[in-house]
Amino acid sequence: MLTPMGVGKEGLMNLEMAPEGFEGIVAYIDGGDRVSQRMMALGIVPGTHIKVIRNSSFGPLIVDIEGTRIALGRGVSSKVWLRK
Amino acid sequence: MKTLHRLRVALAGNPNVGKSALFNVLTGMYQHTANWPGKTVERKEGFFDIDDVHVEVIDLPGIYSLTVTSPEEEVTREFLTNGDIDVVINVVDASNLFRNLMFTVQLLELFPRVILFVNMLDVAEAKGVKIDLDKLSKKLGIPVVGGVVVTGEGIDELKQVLKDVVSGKVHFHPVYPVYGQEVEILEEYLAKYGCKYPPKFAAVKALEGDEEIIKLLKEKGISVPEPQPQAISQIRAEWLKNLLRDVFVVDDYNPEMTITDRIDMVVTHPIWGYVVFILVMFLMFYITFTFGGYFANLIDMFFGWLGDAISKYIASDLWRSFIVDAVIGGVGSVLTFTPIIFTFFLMYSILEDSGYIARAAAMMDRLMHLLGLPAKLFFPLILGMGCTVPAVMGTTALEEEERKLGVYLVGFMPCSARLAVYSAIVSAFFRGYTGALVIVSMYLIGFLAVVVGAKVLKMFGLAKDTMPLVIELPSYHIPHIRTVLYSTWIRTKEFIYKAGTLIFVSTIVIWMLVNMPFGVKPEDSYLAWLGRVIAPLFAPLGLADWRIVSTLIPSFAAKEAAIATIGVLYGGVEMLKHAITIPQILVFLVFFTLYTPCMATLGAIYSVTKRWKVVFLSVLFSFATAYIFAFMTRLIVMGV
Repeated sequence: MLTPMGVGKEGLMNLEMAPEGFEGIVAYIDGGDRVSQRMMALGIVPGTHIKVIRNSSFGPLIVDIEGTRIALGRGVSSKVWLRK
Repeated sequence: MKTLHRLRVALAGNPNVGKSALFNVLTGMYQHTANWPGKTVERKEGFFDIDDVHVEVIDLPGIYSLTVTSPEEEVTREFLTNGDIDVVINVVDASNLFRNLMFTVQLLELFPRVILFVNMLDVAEAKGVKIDLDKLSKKLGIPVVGGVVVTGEGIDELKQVLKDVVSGKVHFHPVYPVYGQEVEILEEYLAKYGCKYPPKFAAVKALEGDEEIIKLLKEKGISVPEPQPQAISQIRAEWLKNLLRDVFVVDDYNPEMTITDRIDMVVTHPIWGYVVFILVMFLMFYITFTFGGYFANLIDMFFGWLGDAISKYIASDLWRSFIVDAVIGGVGSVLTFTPIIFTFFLMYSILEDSGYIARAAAMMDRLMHLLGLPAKLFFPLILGMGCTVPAVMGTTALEEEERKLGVYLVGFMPCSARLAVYSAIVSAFFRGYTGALVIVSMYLIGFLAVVVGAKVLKMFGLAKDTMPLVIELPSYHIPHIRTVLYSTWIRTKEFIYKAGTLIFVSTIVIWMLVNMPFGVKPEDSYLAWLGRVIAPLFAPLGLADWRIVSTLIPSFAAKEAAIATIGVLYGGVEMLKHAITIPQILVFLVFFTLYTPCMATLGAIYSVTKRWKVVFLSVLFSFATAYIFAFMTRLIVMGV
């Protein structure tokens, strides 16, 4: 029961690549370090609904998680994998 | 009536939920701040009375999780385990209930006696969210009070619940998620063998990969299964979603329609966002140094006038100089900083409380990350071009690890006092564009020192790698005036108390060096003697003249003192160019830019970190940096 999602990375969308307006479910977060702990603490948890608010070549990457707005660095955002 | 009961209460919760506002509303003026032992994390304590109950309140730092990844989390967890408290008030944001309760679930596992205060009901209502507080209370098994801190709604009810806690009328029977077999087995095991944390909490955290708890269990010889933090979080989230299913109703929630979204369309826009950022920065800088500076000047004038007025009544030259220049001057220089610090904190608190600072950090993250600096350090760095003292004070807005990095680095940014010295010296040596170029170079060198310094500090383990940006963008709201004023006042007071002594004592010591033995020529003063003693240290930099070396000593009192000292020792700044060559003055300017910050800055560093070790290290670090940069300049301008 503790196996998260049981999915590989096939067919998943990387958050860094996700276009503005993309809506999906958080599938998996790479790594188990402080940063992924922090992301989960802020609500970026597998199974939660996520919407990409801003993601352009300039400026920040902003997502909406259950009504909370979170800004992410580009490097950390590439750890987050989404599915439709 | 004398008080009969004592209740110790801790406030806990996520950042930006109005926890500090609640603390201020409850305690009013009866509060003080200190640091958590061994940390630079601020600890706020206060008290208030409800009839015959004396309530002590400890405001814990705002955090998102109870897994230890930062000093703030460590402090909270330690305190909830050993802090001798009766009850925790967990403040949550009604408009953000799910995320906030993710913390509550963990909190209950660690400390079951929790009163939930659901704040910002008005904001939630505007979003079309209705919360059934009674149902929430029943489902969680703990008392729940709803309200709006800034209008005072729900405060009386909260106080009533606290009274009921004292009289034993309140019961806490929290409900917990079921995490599955692995957690349960570990929990049973821990219940049998004991652990400083409650067994359920320790078992869950061990499986979430919490390093401290895993280490603790390993020391006891307990084998810990492979951590699965994502699975645990997912179970917690799903359990909570289930629990909340019929607790809150979303009426006609249209996420595109909120005011926050409309503001963010501009403020986080890839182009307009930077325009807004530059405007805000400019306003902040301008107001701090004009409005704050205006009052600083008034205070300066007052102490000048006071000095003149008093000097008439003192016959002895020695005592007149001592009282006027050292004592009155010392008190004056402490107080002239206060309007600037007050104005800065006032504006920063307004920006932070309104929600803008988080956006600004998000906008600046990419650039700052490239430079290896924490995003929120841009504020202190920009401020540092005005004055290093508020810049250091401004690092309090950073998290502990990043703050340490900040206090060592902001001093490298040339402040306006240094600019005054550049202008005076440069005009004596260079004409037109060359002079401007030299001054601009000093700013570039200062900034270069910040970037290189950050790398070096991390290399030597004096600072940790900057955590990549993961930051909540809270809903915008009108700042709570009382909270803004309190925190501004407390920080200003901190500065006067903590930094004041150091500034005052240093002023007197420097006065003695310059003026003693009394009545001798400048070249026979203790200052000159000290200058001659340390001059050989500067010979490798090509600065053999003891007089130019001596100017560095009074500059410790205030950087602009260099001009006066040069005036005295050389008989005027213009005369400097007959004694010092252009390459020499360049080396001197580089050293002068980077070396040991002025004593007011050191006072500010102490006031922020409350550790003499950090003050000492920053003196050493900046001196070494200045020496190395000056030496490299020497190699460039004078050859080997």
